[in-house]
Amino acid sequence: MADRREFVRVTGGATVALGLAGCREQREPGPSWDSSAYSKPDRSPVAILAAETYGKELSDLVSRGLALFPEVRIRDRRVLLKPNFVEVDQAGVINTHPLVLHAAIEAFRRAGAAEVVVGEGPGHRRDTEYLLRETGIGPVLRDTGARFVDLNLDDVTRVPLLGRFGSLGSLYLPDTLLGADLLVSLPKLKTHHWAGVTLSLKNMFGIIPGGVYGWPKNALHMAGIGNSILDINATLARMDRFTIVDGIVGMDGNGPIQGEPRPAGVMVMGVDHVAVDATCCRLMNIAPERVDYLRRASMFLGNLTTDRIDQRAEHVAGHETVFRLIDDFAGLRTVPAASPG
Amino acid sequence: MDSRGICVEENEFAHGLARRLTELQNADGGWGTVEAGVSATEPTSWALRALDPIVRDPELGLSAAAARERAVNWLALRQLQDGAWPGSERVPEPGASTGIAVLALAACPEPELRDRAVAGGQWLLEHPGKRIAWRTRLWLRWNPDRNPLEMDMRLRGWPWMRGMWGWVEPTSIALLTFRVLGERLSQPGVSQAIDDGESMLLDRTCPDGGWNHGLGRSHDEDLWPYPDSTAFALLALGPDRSDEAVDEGITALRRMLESPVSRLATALGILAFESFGENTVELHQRLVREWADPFPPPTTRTLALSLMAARGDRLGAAVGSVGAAKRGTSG
Repeated sequence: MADRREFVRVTGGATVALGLAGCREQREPGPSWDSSAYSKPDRSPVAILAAETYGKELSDLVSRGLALFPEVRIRDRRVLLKPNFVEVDQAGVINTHPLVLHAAIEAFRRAGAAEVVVGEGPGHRRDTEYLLRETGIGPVLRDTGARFVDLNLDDVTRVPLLGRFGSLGSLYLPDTLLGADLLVSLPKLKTHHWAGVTLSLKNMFGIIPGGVYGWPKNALHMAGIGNSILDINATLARMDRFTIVDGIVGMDGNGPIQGEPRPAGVMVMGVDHVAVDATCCRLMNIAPERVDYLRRASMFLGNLTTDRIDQRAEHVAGHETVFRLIDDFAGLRTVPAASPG
Repeated sequence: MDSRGICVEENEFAHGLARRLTELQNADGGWGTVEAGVSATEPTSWALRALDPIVRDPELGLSAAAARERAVNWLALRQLQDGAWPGSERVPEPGASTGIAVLALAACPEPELRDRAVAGGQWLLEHPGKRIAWRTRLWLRWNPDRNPLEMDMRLRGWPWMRGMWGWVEPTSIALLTFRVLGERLSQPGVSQAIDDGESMLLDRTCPDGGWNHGLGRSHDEDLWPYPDSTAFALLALGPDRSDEAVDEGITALRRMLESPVSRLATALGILAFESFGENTVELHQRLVREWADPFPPPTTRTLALSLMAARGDRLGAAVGSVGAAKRGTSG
């Protein structure tokens, strides 16, 4: 591990390792976002709902969670659900669990959505048909009749970025995303070997079209993973958004695809993605202010500190699970913790 | 049955795919990545490549010829001054899809289309992947055992987008185009490019054989191969090599395709295995069965590659010619 740290340090972080090591970017002085991207609310409600297993009852749970956020307008709106589904995974650990997706489709329909569309643009695998079959997402789409859009292949429109953390300036975004009334991030609760954690904000990498940027989406890595997370989410700040994190069984260690299952028994929901991700970090025994991109996001996109987060339903205390971190990110730990075993 | 064991039903299957492909053509002559999508270079090129032989089909020849003509015009009108093609009507930047356009036009008999292919191939030749930064190269020179990604980062390959790093699929496509065009491209650049591309692919194999997007190991752990990437890499490297990596790639692809994966994987498996002279009868039958299920709606690329597989397209056929000649001259 020391070798990799030395490698990243000497070679400049964001520009090395085939663009995959972009989590230690150069900081820019002064605001790096357009004023219209500033979307930090005064206070942010976040709901933690206990859920021990994946089952059919999840749809009621999601509905109960949505009811805690009456400010989220769903009726007669086009809802785009963006799960995190990246690899073939028989164990159900890498991807948002199919039953969580199923539950979300049903819950948003029940809440009166005009249409619920599922969209994802996997970052490594180009054969989305394979992923649909092997991840269990395909049967969910068949059962529910929900339309699926491969965001890697959707028609695109070039959009100027409202963040200037990286050098991208603009990005092509899928028309299905741009036409949605409500964007719902459905990430998995996971650690990430380049970014520390991958949650609601990082999940937005999957909206970037591989049909333009390739597999992997190299331009994002070359601009720095953290920078790109911030620039993408700054640009989405004007959209109505919601997030539901699948933390029933998360992944720790060498995530996002090579880690180990870590049952956490929760689903976490909210509008403010920074506040939701910060809460998820606390549930994982990670200090959110030590996750570089989250700390920077808290300057303009949302709330990070507990004094600005209103906890709805359950509280962090009593639901914490120690997620293992690779050595490079040992410094993210809230307090020194014993091995989770 | 024909020599590949293809029966009447499978020819009808190919006709069905061809009909469907022509029906998906946009009014402007191009194809979108999916049905009703904005016309783009890659799907249009794969569709053209797939339909070109259908022009001689007694049953579908007329409609295929008309579709082919419109596709050729679409590509001709959109080729950029420097020989490259833009990504789509919405994406003016050129990239890896230029290689697919070259493969499509190079298969056409008209000399002017082959000239367009040569211009595209020359552009690809001149636009390999981004070189890693000088300080990284310097650091690696002094610390050769401390490369965490366990790959030779001096090898560039070809990128998805201009100015990015090289990856397996675009490098494979670039290699195929260089071999198809061979000596019509500038020398000695093309021979060097083939060497570079081959070296990059051979460096990026997965520990258990085969290829994924382009990373065999990450964070001290092995990564696993993908059927589509492995098939493209095998097509690009071709049957004339005696590399262990190629043998392991064939074994890996066979293993990955033991049970159904996807229509795309089966189609590419057929194309790759046939270029190595392997029996594909079972895969052909599987492809027919897989297409009986309408879910999920296919991409144009999957449709075109399935048609190419069903019709016995020899995507990797050029590998033997220029590649072997090059190796012959280099000893």
